Amino acid sequence: MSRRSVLGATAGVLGGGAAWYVTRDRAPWPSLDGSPGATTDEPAASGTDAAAAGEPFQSIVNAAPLEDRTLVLIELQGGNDGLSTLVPYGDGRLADLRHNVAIDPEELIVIDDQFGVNPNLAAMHDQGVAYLQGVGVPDPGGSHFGMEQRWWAGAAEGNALPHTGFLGRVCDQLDVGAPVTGVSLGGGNTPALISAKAVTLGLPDRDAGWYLTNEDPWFRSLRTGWVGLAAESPDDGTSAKAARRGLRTAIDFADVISGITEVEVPRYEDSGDIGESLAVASVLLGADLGVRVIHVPIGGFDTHSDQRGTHDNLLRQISNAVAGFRTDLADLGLGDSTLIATTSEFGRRPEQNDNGTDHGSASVAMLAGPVVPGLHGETPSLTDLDDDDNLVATVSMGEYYATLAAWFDIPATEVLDVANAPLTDLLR
Amino acid sequence: MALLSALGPRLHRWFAGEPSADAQRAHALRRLHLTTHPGQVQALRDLDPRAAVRDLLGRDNATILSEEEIAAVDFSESGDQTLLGWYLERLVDPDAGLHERMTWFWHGHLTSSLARASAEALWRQHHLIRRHALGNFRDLLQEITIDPAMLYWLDGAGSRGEQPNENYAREVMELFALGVENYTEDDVRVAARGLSGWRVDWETLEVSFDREQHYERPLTFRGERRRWNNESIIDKICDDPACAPHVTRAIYRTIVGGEPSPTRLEELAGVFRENDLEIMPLLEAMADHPEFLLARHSRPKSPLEWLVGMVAVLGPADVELDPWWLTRLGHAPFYPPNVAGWPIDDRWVSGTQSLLRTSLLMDQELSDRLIDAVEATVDEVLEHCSLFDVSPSTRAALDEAIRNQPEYERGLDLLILLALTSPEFALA
Repeated sequence: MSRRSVLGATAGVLGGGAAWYVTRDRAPWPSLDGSPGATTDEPAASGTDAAAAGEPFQSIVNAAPLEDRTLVLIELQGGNDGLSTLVPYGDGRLADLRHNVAIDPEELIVIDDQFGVNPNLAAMHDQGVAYLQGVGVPDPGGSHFGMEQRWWAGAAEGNALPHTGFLGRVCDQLDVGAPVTGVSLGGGNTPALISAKAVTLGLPDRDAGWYLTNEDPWFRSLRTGWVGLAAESPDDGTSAKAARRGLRTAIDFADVISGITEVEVPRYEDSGDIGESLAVASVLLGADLGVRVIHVPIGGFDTHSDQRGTHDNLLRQISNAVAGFRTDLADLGLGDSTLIATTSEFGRRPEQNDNGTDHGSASVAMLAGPVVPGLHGETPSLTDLDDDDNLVATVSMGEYYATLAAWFDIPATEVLDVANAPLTDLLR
Repeated sequence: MALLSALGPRLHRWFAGEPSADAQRAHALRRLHLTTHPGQVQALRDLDPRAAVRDLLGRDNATILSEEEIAAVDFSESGDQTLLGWYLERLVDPDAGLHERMTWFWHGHLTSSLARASAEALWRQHHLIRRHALGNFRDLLQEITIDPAMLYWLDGAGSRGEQPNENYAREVMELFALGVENYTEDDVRVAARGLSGWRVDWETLEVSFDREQHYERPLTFRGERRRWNNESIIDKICDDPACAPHVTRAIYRTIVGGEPSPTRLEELAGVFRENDLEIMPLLEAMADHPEFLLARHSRPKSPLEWLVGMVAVLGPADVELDPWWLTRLGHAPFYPPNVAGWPIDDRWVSGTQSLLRTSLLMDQELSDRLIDAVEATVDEVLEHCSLFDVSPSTRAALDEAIRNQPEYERGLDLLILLALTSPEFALA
């Protein structure tokens, strides 16, 4: 070896191939100790045995055991235009408000004489989607950041935001000491997953952490060093404490990722970044590592200008990604135990500007998996708008979040500051 | 305390919470410059820490290009890489001082993004910011309001008076100048009309004003009725009592860290206002104050600050810079996550960041120059990394690592890697 550091030398050898993905052909998904990922006392529910035996997956309605249930929340950042997602084409007012932004009714996937779905959502729609109309907050603001904060924190009013995020509190309720309970994929860390005790992690990168599992003595020394650095010192300030906690999480994560190798991406055709994130999600869920909540952000919905092309592309990628993801989940026997749901900080204004739309209020949430497909919630009026000419929400964030919490049998009072009742008839 | 004193002055001081003079000098460099390069603390040893602060404030280290130099750079191919590459070179230059610090600050405050504007447009905007980085806030805001990259980024380009785009109108008040609680939806609507009428030529990036598309009738904006244009709208915003405190608070979070007390904010905003929003007097009032030197480690380093610090330690001349690094760390210049720029919080020291930063270090190698210059001892490595007054747990971790790794080169690698991933190095 030349007079060069081991940092460079070893990276060359190990950096490329070392990652924590499971290849597609390595089913059944192994857990860390090499045993099958299924819990042995619930083999039918997890479906791993069936998948291993090559038998077709059979849906078991409402039968997913509580401890197997997981949530994948897709955050549509920028403000998704609900009126171009689930289109109320039967309301003549829509064409008046949007002369070049509205989708031609002839292109829509028709639901009934009032509603049609954006044709770009076809792949996902065909597998069954619940469209929840009018989701918003009672007194909406127009600021992305103000409204994102409210959605992340799960505080509809926006005053006195809790320090933790809604998903972080859900993770706290689900925490059984797993190395990682909540993961955000594709965007790094998110305030939505800030928790009080459960460990949550944001992974922007697919092969983070290869060096944590290397057994060369030098790497072992390094790991020992990190354990030392992660130990608290008596005079640590807040930031120092946080920095040591960060190191600790990284070291713990090493235990989680050992034994898992690579998955191929792109995995779902024409599905963009969200397709990669959901491919990773399928691996994490399939490997049964204790991850219960996965957050997947996707940006670009702030369609002030040139809305049609941008929005159509985004919806098509989401549709392809979710459809591929659900196929994988079904193969893994996780189709009935994984709830997929979307949020967005707000919708768009009903009346367009030049060729886009400005910030609005209520929007449409989409849910897939163990849900009742079709339309849910009351349609917001296109005539009786609020003072800012925006839609008036008919379903509150609190009710929506209470429903997501109810999926885990968590009472709304444990994760929200107001005792909202969950929506009935949405989940099955 | 007798026992602690017996452990040596360094440890005693650490427990007493009173940073050594070197620790204070290093702190001043980290905040007023972008990082500490090896030897810079030592070069300030003739000055007490407060005098060192004044010295750093007084240095003229601005890099301002002439119009010819700006026009001479070719962006026709790989424009993003050219732009990022040029900027990264500037950021890691040991001579980069307060002017670079504030150029970077303003880019994060008055954001624009390659997601919407071309590399050449961002390049020109970058030099606009450079010209005003230590100048006058009003001039900066006036110019950036009609800067091509900004007009694209926040949809001012092509906004027509009869159907104006509200994007810039909102963000200039909410994020750039006043704060979310200091404007109304009505203000947004009026300001959007006042700001309308601007166009940008895609090819030449020339900006022009089209009176036909500007809203020409009188409107009431924040209590004043008149015909408005971009200049009078921005002037009105800059004259607002909320402007000086909002901008002061933003700068304070970077330079001092955390939130100013109400008294201190009033004091500093007063200085800013009395000096007609001149930036330099505000910085002097902020840093030449006992509070500043006590604010060591009051916030985490941003990923960019960490990276610049890492390059400083390994040697700017010996590291092959890769703009992609900053993308991986979630802190790429010219790609803010959204219009609010990059938040300052504990996500900067999360487990995610630990994993990413260490991955990045694994790809580096120590130069012969560094191997010749630094002994593989804990004291030499800490001083080379400008880490003074480290905590007992950090020192213990390094001590143990070098005991286990007597082989010289691998020991030096290990110590430098641990120092660069230590909690102390993660703090500003």
